[in-house]
Amino acid sequence: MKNKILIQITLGLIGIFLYNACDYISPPYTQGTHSGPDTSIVMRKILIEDYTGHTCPNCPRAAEMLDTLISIYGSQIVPIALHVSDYARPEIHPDSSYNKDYRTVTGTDWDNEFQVSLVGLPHGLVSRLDHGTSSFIKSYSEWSTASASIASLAADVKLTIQNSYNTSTRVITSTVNSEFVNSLTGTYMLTIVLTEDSIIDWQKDGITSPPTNLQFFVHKHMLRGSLNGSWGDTVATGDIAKGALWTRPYTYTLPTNFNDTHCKIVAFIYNSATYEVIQAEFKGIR
Amino acid sequence: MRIELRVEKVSNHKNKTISFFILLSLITLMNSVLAQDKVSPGAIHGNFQGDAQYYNPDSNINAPLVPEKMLMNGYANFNYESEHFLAGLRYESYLHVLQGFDPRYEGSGIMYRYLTYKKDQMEITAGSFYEQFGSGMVLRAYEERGLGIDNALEGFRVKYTPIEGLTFKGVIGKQRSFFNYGPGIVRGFDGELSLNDFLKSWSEKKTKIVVGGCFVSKYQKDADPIYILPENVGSYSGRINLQHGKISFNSEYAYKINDPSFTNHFIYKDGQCLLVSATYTKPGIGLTISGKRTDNMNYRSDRTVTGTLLNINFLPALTKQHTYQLATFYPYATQPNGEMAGSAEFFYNFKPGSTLGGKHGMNLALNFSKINSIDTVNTNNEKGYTSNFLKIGKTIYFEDLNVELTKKFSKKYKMIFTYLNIIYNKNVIQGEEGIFHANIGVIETIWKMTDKVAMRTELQHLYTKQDQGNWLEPLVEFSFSPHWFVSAYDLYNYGNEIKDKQIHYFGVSTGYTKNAVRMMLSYGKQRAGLFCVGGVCRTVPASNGVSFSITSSF
Repeated sequence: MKNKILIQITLGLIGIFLYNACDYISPPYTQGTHSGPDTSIVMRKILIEDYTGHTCPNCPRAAEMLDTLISIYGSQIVPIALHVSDYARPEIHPDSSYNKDYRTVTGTDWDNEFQVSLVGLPHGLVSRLDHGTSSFIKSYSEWSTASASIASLAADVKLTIQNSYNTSTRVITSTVNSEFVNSLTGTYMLTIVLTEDSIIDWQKDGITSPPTNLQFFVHKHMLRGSLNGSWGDTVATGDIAKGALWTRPYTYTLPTNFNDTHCKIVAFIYNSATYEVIQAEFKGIR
Repeated sequence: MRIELRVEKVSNHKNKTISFFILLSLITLMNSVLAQDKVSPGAIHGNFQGDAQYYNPDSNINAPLVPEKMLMNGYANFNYESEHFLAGLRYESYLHVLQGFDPRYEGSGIMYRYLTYKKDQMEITAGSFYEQFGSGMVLRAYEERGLGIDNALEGFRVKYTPIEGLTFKGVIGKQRSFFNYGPGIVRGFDGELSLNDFLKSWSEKKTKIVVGGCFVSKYQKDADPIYILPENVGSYSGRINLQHGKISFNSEYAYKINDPSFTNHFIYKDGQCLLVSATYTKPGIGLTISGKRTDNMNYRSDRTVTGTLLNINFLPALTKQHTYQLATFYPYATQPNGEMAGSAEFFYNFKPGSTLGGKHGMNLALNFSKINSIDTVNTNNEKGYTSNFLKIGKTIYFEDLNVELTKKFSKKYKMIFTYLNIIYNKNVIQGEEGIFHANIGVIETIWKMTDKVAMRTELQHLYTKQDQGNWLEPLVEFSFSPHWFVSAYDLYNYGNEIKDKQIHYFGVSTGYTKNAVRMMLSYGKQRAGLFCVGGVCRTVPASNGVSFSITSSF
């Protein structure tokens, strides 16, 4: 008798659980329009580093995700696409496909430090959140949630970029200014890199089986080099007072094979202990 | 003390250090209480495994430079067991992670620890535990160290057997993800009824019937700015095992509600899987026929992750798991998004004295498996596609026809002849270009030279016009009973179209076994490839170096 009651209670609990533990979603499946950042205060921008490679068949999906996030958050997203690992190694083919080397010293340094390509491509980092945890390296489907967690946050630092570009010498002078909006503690570094957009070249695309070799793929936000090394310069350290300012000009000579109308300067400030990017900004050189 | 210092060095592991000492204290306390009460104080047992490798960069085989030179994965289990109480923990150390394993394991700590109390009809576990409901198609928390998989649940498990033959299980927990936990919560119930134990009138019946059913639900917060995602995703299954004399029949059907995830490209379609298997066996002969249909059944406690991370369920592979090195070149990895699989296995023992059996008999094993896509029609909406349940898709994912003939020529000499014919769709299985057709032949000899010395040889050959071309591998191994063995092999890619890639992947190894301790030292080159267990795979990078492994238990 006692057992029968126990069984009935157990089955009853299971029934309640079954009834409540399923969320059936019916259309619409997508969220409404994003309200956009609050323009009355300095908002935190979201640095998305897309670790990619031209022979990585799933990497176009990550690029699409980056496009989607830019369509939602606009200029609040600061994108960088880094070509790294064997997937970015130049190859020799009769049709000259995949023969370019888009890897950079900075990209390789970051990849060696963060070991993103060891996890597999495509993966990426969102404002370098969660360093030291297994959530640090994010698949592209995690980027949207991670971005959403930052998008509504006020910034601790205001970052501005002023570029001047000499078209004959191809020298860029980029002056980066930072102002701490809140008082902080720690050491904060500024890294300034150059990205180039709309590079048309080969890309393997695994959306088909077998993967397609796309000859005219548009590579966006591609990391092309750094103005101050892979890890940047210290902008503030110790107890940093609200209102602390820092400014410095940097120069960079644009190689002739870079299209200057598609190049941008990307600057970001990160905590040297946690690597977390607390603010980022970008600006075209022309 | 050494362990304590190591654990404290690693951030995020402070709570695990505390739990470690709480557990040790509890075990000590239990032991002293039980000793005072003159109750059996129980026993402590455990084991240790250490795998280390020294790496040489080798541009010929694309073996990368490893800055640390030497890497090691280490595991030590300590378990306490008494009549009603069990406790245990596993200390793991990846300093740094061996090449080919996920680098996010880096660090040391205790992620697996548990306390279990069992008395009468109830068993309660607090902490980490592994569990499987049925064949695992809805829930399987397990460890497969060779693949770097450990999706143990951390929480509570209750097992309750109110009446003989009837068992309930309930679990709740978060899954392990490296040295952390996944964001989702997994809850599940399972019930299993053995009619022959439950009903007295059935206890003597020749027909044995076991039925079971389970329900599992995961919760993960929806913070996605793009999609409206289900936060609670339920999945259930029903199963039956029938046995009547020489015939047995097993089947399980699983269903999952809408579960948009990275793996299924965020479609809102439901998922299902049917597994059917029938076996006939009698002494000297056996036949098993199995079929499986999988449709959108990837089920994880984090919808955004990929690879082998945070899988709640396990979809068993119907393909044969081969052990010869060349036969493992093209292993099948289960495709949870959809596959139609069938397999048949037959064995026959030719008795000693028969025409084909000769004086010492002969064994024949035949195995065939084929996996195709499921038939789908794209719906061009968030449901993804529709699929006819019984229709087989046109794309071949994998096919394996293999024959194994074992012939004993004398009490001291035996030969095994193996032939495999494989079709491997790399596009689907690895996401890289290529559909390969390979023929593999293996001749193995085992010769007991003396009472203490035995020699084993293998001659393997792989023939293919695709991929890297033909391979040849001779292997010789001597074992000196009871402690030592030494072996050498040369895996030669003589058929590679690129001359520079006609590489010899040679290797030598020696091992020593004494009581519960086994050590092995190897040197050689390892080719890049896939390593799979039960249809789950990990990529193994090329390497060149010395490896050392030790296992021991107490």
